[in-house]
Amino acid sequence: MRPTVRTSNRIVLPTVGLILGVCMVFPIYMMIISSLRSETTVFDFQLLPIEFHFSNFQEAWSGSGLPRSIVNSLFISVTVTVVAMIFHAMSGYALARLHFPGRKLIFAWMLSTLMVPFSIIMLPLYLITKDLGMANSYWGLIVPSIFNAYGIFLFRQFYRDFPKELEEAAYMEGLSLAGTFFRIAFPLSVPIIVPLTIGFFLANWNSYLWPLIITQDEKLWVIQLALAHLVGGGYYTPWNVVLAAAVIAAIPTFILFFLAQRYLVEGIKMSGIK
Amino acid sequence: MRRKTVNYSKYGYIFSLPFILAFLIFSLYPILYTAVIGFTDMKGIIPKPVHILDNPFENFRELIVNNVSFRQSLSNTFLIWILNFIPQIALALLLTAWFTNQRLKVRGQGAFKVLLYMPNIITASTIAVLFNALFSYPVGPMNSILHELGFIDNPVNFLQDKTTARGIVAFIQFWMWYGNTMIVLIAGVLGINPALFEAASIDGANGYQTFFRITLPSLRPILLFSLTTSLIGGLQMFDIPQLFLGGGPDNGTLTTSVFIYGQAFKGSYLYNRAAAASMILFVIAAVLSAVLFYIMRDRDAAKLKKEEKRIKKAAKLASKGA
Repeated sequence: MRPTVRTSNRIVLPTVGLILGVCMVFPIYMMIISSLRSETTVFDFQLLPIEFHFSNFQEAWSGSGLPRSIVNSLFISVTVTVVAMIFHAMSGYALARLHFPGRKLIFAWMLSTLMVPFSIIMLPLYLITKDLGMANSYWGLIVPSIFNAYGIFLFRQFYRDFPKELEEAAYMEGLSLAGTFFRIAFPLSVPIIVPLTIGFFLANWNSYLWPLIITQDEKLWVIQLALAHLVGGGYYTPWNVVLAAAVIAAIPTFILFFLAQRYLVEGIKMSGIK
Repeated sequence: MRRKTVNYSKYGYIFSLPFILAFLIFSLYPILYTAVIGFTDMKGIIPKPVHILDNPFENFRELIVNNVSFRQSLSNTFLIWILNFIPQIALALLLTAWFTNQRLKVRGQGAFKVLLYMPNIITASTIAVLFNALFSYPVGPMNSILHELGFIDNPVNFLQDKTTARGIVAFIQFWMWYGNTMIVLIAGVLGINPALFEAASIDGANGYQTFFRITLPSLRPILLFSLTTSLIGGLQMFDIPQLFLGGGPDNGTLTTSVFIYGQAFKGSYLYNRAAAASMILFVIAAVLSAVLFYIMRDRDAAKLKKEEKRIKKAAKLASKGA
């Protein structure tokens, strides 16, 4: 027999949870309704959306470098994510499956880089990227962002638990090892590729420090830089328009989040547990 | 039947080559490079011949002894991190206990989790704009709420006061990350052997007893994992302090990462001093992670190993004696 739960628990806990949830989502709600106000009423405290100045969004969109920066961000995030998935899967596969000398050393070295805060290497990374002629270019934004020990680590964990029989069968059929990987192992890695893709895309969309360092040209600005410039860039922009721009900057992450939230949670679980 | 021998080594190297190259160029080399720059007179954007300083530790000494901003940035980083981590782990644990309680069977869990996780995916610049608006002075939503509730009589300039500014930055960090911690902890609870909970239930343990005697002790490794990742994340805290208040007011939210950025990429481009500060941060990160790894190590496994060794030794001695 199961002990019964006191009714207070049935009512109190969900209520507390609901209040917490509302508090936590409140700032986002405020942002959205404030972005629809006029310049004079933007900071008035008003819980309900009573004004709908959709022109704010129009103004934010046309009056700034926002459209271009969004295209930049999309291009960079997608490129980094696609290239990273292929390279990371290859490295992860090598570390999990192929027994070659130095494998353990490479793995340990890779894990240790997870312990190095980015701000420690940002200066030399900038100097190196500049020496390679990639500063202030799409190359400089993309190439150093591709490699990330976390992705390789998760791929390695995934391939370690991957049934060997499939690959062995493919190999017996005469596929080369590279063929086995690209035709069998990689296409079957969807359960790990999906959450990692979402994670990589979001991380790159949200990245601020590296683009800030490596780009000067306004044409190369990513969304974060464009938005930061709108606030502190010298020109006066009304707050309602700034807030509208901030909402626009968050829209792609919202869409991705709601489409793929199940996988996102899966991804965090995997990274947390293993 | 003879099997073809697979040349694992060849493919192993080919497959990991992109990774090895990239990490040599973009990870190992930068770390070594930082260490070197810290001992030199390298500064300014125009390349000049670089020399090792007469007193190689000059940059380090200058930072630790004379530089008030640097020391302030270290204490700010720790203060903001602690202020964000304690409520973060507390709330995440509470929510975890609630979501994983078998008897409560909370409905609509999925939607809740998604909602609570949302702040984590919003871009930092959006969040900076949002909180700037919320705490604006003299008229702003936060000032209005507090005035209406009777907590304050006159509007407070939250963003110009060091204490409140720090508090807000810590709150933003907490707000962005508790959902993430919660999901990691929930996954951890789901990984605990269900037999433990069953046994506790049969023994008549109530919810609190189960949580404190079973769940919490079993979560130890996951909690330490969260602590480590949060600590490393805390040491590189940059986006919010920089975007929100630019490290101000009066260096009140200047974190070490913002300090390093300011030294290297603003004003007089003091590469050497930025590198020295980076090395100090590196040492701090290394020491802290070493301590955490030491705490995190599997004590039972270590004990078992020791015991095994002792038995083997005893057996050896016995066999020699025989």
